[in-house]
Amino acid sequence: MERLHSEQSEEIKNEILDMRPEAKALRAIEEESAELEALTEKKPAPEGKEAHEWQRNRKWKKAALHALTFMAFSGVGIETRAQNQILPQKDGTALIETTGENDPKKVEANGKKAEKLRLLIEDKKFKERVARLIGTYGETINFLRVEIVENEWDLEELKTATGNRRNYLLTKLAGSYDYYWNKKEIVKHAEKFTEMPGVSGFELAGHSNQKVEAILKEYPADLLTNIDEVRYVDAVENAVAPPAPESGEKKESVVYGVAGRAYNVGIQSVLWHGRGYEHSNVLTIYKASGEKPHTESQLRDLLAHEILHYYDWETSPRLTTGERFEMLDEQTEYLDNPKRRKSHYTDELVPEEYKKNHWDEKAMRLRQAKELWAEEFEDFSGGFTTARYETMKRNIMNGKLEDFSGVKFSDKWLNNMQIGDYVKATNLVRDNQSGRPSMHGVRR
Amino acid sequence: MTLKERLEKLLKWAGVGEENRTLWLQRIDALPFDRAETFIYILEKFGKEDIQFLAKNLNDKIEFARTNDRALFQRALREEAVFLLQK
Repeated sequence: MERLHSEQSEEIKNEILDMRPEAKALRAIEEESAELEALTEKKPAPEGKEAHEWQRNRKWKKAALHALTFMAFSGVGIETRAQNQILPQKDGTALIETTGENDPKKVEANGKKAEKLRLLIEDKKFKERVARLIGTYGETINFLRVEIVENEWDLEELKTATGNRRNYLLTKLAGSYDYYWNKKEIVKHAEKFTEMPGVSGFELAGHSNQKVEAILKEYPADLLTNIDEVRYVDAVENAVAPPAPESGEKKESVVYGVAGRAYNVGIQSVLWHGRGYEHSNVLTIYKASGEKPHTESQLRDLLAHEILHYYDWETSPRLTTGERFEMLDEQTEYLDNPKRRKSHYTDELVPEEYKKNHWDEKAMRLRQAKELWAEEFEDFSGGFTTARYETMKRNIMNGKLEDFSGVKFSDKWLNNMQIGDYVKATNLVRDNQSGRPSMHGVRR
Repeated sequence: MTLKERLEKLLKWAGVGEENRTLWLQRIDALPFDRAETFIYILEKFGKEDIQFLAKNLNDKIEFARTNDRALFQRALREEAVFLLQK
């Protein structure tokens, strides 16, 4: 954790403001954790049958520890951003001394941003939308609301706050505005990350890493910058459910084979807008559960699907809070549309997994909304190759894709995320309906 | 069963005290839901001792976040190393 004093340089302040609030403290933790990692690497891994279980167990333990780090630092970072000092007291409590911005011009600028933030979160339509989505998804969307709740407390306190405390609240609220609502700032931040993801392991799947890199290059670069690594794991991964208590069985039952996961090894990646940090967002493709390995076409489908999991209302680094709720609201409407396309995975396998595990129905709905979003993209835009574009065109022409709402939805939201040079799906539909040739399949 | 109900049940089963349970139930909101879901899925695979360790680990990290006590942090990291090395 950083202790910031008002006399510290502007540069350091900006560095802190520029990152997600908890980032500084966590960077220190991660540096020390690397030493810890090296220590644990010294113990040889078991071989044979035990190896996979051992590796999985360690992966889970690491993920759990990362999650706890995030949980521990949530909230503290918000204070850090507002330039506080946290002073430990003898009785074990912490005194938070706040030192908000006192420069009159900056106070005024912060005040304007705080007012913009107030208008946005008190907007009647926005509030109705949030209430509607809470009704549908309950606690499963709490993460999207955490900052708003904090803002509401601060705005309430701001009504009567004076002097230094008022300046502190304004600094904090202005920071929130830039981070969560100011589209220009959000996109500017996301565009700092330009590296392509690393690719590994695909020779084990009968493909080469170079081939996968070439497939990824067909995508708009902006659609890959939230992914650190694309990795093949030569092991079958299953979604499982515990045996029913009355069945007397001991083994967990396999619900379905997991072909790929938009996996987050370090939960800290949400602090970093995904990129710029080693092994945070790792798109994992697993060994095919059948006898044959993934074909190139299946691989393309899997990649398209998993890539979009890094660009939904929760994970995209390019959306404002308002847009996140709006996107989820529209996706919910589509999910509920009885005429929409049905999918074996979203409409049958996912509910089966939740039912067998006795998991919450609201959580299931959110999962379905997420899977549907990835499937819309997989099926309609389906990668960015000319071959897939031709397939999509054929499907539109022969009436297989009667429901274009998914196409329009993908189009609108990729546009809102300012993903450059993507397939303009609505143009594609329009062009094919008119029979005109189109060049929208060309990628950079 | 909701995610928080699952978490509370698990923590009770592992013998985590009420105060700590409340802390977990509050802080879990800081995780995006699918991460929280994965996290709880993982926790459900762990034994009681593992969960008790994690409860202590969370407390230590919160304490470090509040106090910036490097000695406390070093101790927590050493304990994490032992935790990772155990089967």
